[in-house]
Amino acid sequence: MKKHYLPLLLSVLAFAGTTVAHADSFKIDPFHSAIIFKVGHFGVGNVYGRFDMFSGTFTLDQNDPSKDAVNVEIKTDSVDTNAPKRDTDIKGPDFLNAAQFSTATFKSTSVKKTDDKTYEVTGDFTLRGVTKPLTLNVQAIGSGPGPKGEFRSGWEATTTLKRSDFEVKALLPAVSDEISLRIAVEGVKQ
Amino acid sequence: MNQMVVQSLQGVGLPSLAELIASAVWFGVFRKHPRLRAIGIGLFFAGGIIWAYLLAFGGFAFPPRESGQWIPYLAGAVAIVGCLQGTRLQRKVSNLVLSLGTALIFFWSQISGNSLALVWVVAVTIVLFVSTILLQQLIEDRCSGAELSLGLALSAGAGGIVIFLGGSAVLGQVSGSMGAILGVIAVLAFFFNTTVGRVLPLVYLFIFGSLLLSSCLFAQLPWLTAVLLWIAPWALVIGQRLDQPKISARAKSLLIRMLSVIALVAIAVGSALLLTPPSSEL
Repeated sequence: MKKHYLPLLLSVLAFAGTTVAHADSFKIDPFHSAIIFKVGHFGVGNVYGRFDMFSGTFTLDQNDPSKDAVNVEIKTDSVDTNAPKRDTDIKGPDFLNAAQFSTATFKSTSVKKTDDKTYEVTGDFTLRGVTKPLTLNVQAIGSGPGPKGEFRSGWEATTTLKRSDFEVKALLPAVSDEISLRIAVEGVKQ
Repeated sequence: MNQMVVQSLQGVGLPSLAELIASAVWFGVFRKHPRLRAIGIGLFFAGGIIWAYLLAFGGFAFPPRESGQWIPYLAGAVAIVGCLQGTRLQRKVSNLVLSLGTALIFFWSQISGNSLALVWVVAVTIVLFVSTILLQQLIEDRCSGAELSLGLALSAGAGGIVIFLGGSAVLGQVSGSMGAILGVIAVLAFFFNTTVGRVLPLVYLFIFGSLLLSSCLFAQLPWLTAVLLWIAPWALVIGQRLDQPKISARAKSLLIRMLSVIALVAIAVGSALLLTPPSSEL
């Protein structure tokens, strides 16, 4: 009787193993990742800044990209624009209000493959307590073994958002409403 | 002219101009009706603050999620409570409720399981409540309308400068607008030679208190500066109200009584210049 069940059991285990193999989880490596933003200054130039502290994970399903998922959490008080006093102002109540809203988050809700190496990742972006949908244009950079033999996967995403959508309206229009974001991540397979 | 400077001037100038027109009419029409005059002046003052907030922040947030976003709603609520205090509401009870409500706006989200937040709530409630008694009762009895309004205008106006230095241009603009509006009311009260009532100081207390608290907690306004500006108008407790019919005598009395307020405000601005980092590179 036991013999009849053995092939069934083996096939179930094999199927489960296949599923795990196709949905890989990655943890963002902050030392090989960056979140950079660009904001217009008086309509004559752009100021660039970055967030130094962030974390996140992403899941890649090789068979079905629509099952991919991304979660990123950014520490708002880690903003750095190469001008300490300006950083203090950006962290303050006029802009990020980091004392009250210590993180900004992105949680994907859908992933669509648009080309061989490009994707549209739509998700909920929460900034200063306001959550709005945001679409990232994502490009696969590459994947392979890292220096310690770990498997890495690299991606770069760009998007533009309006800060007024998140009720950050101070100094408009001198400091532009539109903010360009570039997120470059390397994930280490878990 | 610099776009930001123009925006700031509009933010301060437009509500002040509207206040000048509306309050001048009100002072003229209700010159002999102190209660109605107080209600109108208080409501116009709150309206001016709400407009100043709108110009500075570019809109209202509803529902408000952070303490600064409560300012326009608080201004409206305090003005209405202040108006009702003249009729049915118990002054001290309603002031205590407003003080507690304002403290909770700042610390409600941190209160569960955080005894320090509870201490903050109690401390802010006590400071606001005691201040309402001092300003609404004691000082109003001892000052002319012009003296009271000018004392508050100096504190709020200087508040605009120090809050800007402390890292919030927007909150600074709202405080500066408050200072300008109070300055307009001081000029009108001086020429009409009347009091301004108890609604206006109530609105001032809760809004200026919220601005200072926001700037200390979420920006980098030094606590010492905030405390000095907060207590500056209390200097008007010293001395007595002199009802001078002559303009020159009124002006002389006004200047003398302002000296102590100006001294405290100057020390406050000096402390901000010493204690805050150099200006921003926005």
